[in-house]
Amino acid sequence: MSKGEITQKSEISKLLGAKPVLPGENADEYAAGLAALIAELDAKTMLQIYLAEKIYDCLWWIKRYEAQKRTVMIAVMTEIVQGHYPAKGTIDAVELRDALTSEAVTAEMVEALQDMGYTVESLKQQALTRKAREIRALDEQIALQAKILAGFQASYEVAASRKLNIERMRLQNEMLRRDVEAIDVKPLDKKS
Amino acid sequence: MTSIAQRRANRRNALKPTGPRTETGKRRASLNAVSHGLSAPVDPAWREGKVSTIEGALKGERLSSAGSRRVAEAIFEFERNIAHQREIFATRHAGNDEGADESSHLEADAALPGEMDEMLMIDERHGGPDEDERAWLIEAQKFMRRQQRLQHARAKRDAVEEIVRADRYMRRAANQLVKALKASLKVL
Repeated sequence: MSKGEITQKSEISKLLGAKPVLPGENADEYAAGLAALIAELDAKTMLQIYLAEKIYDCLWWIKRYEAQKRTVMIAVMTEIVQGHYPAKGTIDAVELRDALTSEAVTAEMVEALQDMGYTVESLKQQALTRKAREIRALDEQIALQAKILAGFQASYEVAASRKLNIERMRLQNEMLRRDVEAIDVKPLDKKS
Repeated sequence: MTSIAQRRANRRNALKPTGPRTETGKRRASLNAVSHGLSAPVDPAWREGKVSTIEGALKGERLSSAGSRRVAEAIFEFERNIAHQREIFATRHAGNDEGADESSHLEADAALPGEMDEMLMIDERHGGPDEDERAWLIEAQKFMRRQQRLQHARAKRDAVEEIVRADRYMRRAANQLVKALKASLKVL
């Protein structure tokens, strides 16, 4: 399903002019993920598609906050290294930041960090301590999105009055039948 | 522990009019609730137009007409909240966010010694700064940087407060939407 098709289908969001993707984010990735979710949930009506979209938006927000957490951590890690006096001339802070972002810290960088008494892990720990408040705020945002996500999932179930419920009931019936059959089996004699 | 006399005085004082007394104070207090986009008053005609359009789009769903209306209103409020949340995030991300700010701090810090040297070299060509001038320049630079950091910290604190407030509104809007959907769909 193309991006255009999705936009046409999400009529309610379209009516409100909602733009889910922020500048710098990958619109194609968003569109592909949303299309997959709509297909997976088998969303057909306007409301179902809207709810599927909101479910996906929550996941997208969670991902966004995770990325933000990472950015904060890397910025602080770089700042710690830059503030370390012997760092000047031995390690370039901007290069280190880029390497941490792309997870491509070179052996020379690791060595330079060790000379200063750091490892990537110890830097992470220090950054976590320094930015505990911000990280906690972002974690709270993630928790909020997770809560909203659960609410939308439950609403979707109701809106679709659904196969999943039918399936759940079928499984419950299956379990009940097994229990009933188990009752029919003669229990073992304790003495034997 | 508060004395009986003090308690009596408190009760007497509580009966007196409270709140702002001057016109300026009253005007300022009247804007207390309008602290961000979500609590700003919305044009009722515009709101009604949007809600009606959403309601129209919900025709054909398993919803009663009252249910459609309730869900449409909840969707409208939720979308307003999401838009606000997105705006906050985008603003921070576009330059005021922590990561970007600290990165730019780094770049500015890294460039500072060079800039200082350049500035002093220019002065040297004209006789060079004396010790006092040099010390003053360094102090001035330090002061400016401190001010920038303070400003940055203030902006960051404001942003965090705004996020917390927006979160509260969003949680409520999401709950209302979920409740509206469950209640309206359950009826049928």
